[in-house]
Amino acid sequence: MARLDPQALVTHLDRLYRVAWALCGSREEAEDLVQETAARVLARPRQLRGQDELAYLVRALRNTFLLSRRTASRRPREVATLEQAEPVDVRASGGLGPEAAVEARELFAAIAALPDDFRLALVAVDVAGLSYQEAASLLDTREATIASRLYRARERVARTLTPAPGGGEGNAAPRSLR
Amino acid sequence: MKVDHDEMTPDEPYPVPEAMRALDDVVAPDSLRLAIAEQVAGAGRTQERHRRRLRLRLGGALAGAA
Repeated sequence: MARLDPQALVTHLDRLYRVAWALCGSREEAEDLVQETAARVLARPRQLRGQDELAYLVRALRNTFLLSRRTASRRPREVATLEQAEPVDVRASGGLGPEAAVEARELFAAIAALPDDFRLALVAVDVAGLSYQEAASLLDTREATIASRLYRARERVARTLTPAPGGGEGNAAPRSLR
Repeated sequence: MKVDHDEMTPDEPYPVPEAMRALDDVVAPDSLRLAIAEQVAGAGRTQERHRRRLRLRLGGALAGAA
């Protein structure tokens, strides 16, 4: 049976970090979550059981997130807002300036503000890059439910990132398209 | 594909918001990259200890059965 190569954590680190940030809504918490997940995963050899490495790691990350949230449930929950959004590291080689960094952190805030079910579906498919089938397995639901939640999650994110009515551009384009 | 009757879902998937492409450019900070690299490097030793314990346990069980 295939084992998880520990190097997969390094290979998929950027994606795991994005998933963690989208789940937590906080950059610092995302770093802690990735490190905690790595510690748990690396504590002993892991069997992939038919999953690919990324799906395995996203599942571990999500489980660690839920565990940490339960543990911290007595503390007041911090919800990220656009005002609290933090600076974001972007690839210098990508030619992205401050505007792209602002877009990214607004996006994380919008994702973090989604209801749990919608957020987990969107994170699994659009942030982690899992298939509908993998996302359904991860979230223990049906592919049709993933499609439904994903539809609503994307719709809400697009709406959040679109300025209030009055711009006269209907319901489609997020701000970054303009 | 089965229709999810729990929620009314349009037939066509909602397109991925264009703004979400910005996510691809977000990378892990160097501090996290370094920390994970150290954890992975240490994992070899941790997992070797784990395997050694399993071998000892298995050896003990086999010796007990003989």
